[in-house]
Amino acid sequence: MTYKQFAKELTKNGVEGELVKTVFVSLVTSFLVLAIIYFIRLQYIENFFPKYGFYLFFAILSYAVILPSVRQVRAYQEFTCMSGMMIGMTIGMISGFLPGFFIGATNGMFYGSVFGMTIGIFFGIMNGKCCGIMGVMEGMMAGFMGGIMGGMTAIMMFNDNLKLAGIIVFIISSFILFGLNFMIFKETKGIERKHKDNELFVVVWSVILTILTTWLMVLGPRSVLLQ
Amino acid sequence: MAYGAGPKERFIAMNNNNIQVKKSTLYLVGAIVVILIAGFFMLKIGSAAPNGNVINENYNGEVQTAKLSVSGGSYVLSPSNFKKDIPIRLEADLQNMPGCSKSIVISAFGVKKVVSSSDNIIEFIPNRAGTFNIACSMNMYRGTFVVLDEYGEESNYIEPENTKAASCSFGGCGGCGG
Repeated sequence: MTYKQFAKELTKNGVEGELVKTVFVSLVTSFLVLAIIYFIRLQYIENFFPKYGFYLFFAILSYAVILPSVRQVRAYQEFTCMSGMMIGMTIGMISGFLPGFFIGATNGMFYGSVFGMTIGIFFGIMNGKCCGIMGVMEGMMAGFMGGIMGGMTAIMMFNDNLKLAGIIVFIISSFILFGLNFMIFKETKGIERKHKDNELFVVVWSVILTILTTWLMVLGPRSVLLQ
Repeated sequence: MAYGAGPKERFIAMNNNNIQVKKSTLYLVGAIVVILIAGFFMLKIGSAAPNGNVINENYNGEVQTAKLSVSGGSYVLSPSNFKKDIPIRLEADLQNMPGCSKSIVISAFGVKKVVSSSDNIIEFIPNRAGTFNIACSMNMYRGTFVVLDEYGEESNYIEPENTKAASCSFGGCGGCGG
């Protein structure tokens, strides 16, 4: 099971073949939803793009790299304890950190942390349960830590290249999730797919996450420091 | 493809394989195009807030100057009363500004700046009267200053203060790390 085999599998019709498609569907859905909200409501907000454009853009990109991993895990359903803990930890951590960071940058540490923890713990549990209670615990703890860390990092870097830090954090997280995709591919050698999500799964989650993030970032509560 | 398949079956399989490769490549290219288009609209260059230097070199008008330092975990401005619409120039006393107190936010006037030995000046125009907050970017060091209205009188407006943040007054900000 080499990387070459994985790369080849990405172009086929199997579980791994759906990863690129999921990224595409998620991106198209999220930006379409954002465009609709923009023409209905957000265009009347002063300085919308300079204020929120960067963080919304990267938040949407983050969901587009998180959702393929979620779909890949759901396709196989069951993993060994070690793999399941790794899956719960990675997805919980990244899906907590990234939203926490981008919301923290616009709404402050409290709201960033709470949002990050909510998303991180939810996805951590959802994916960690593939190996039972150990994965669930690991996912929960990673989501909790990732969310808090995301919000805190954004505020600590508030006056110190925050946007550049956002780009770096996103790139590193993408590589980590790509590594997870490869790990799942290796761990599921010879295992049949047990569940197939259609594109509606990706569309629904992209819509929910984009609307939640946009609402919180633009119209939601924020700390006094960022009002 | 099954062993012993005829030339027709082999042709279809090859064709299907070609279509699959093209599909995944299309998705990849499509994703990149979507990112580029969205990025073009969303990543507009420009800052929503002034960076804390608003007085240009040719400005000959009145400027209100004050010293900014930290004492007992709070920002101290001397003087702390200013007139409305006249630019304020704060000179940060770096000797008395530990840790994150150098990262200053005055949200009411859109000021976000880190002061350093090479640039310890913060400039902004107070275009509103009232009592306003000055805080470090982590909201640990806090202080207030007053902007008097055009008649030189104090306004009733007091900017709400976030008092929930931890204080750095005892033992510094060392506990902020993850």
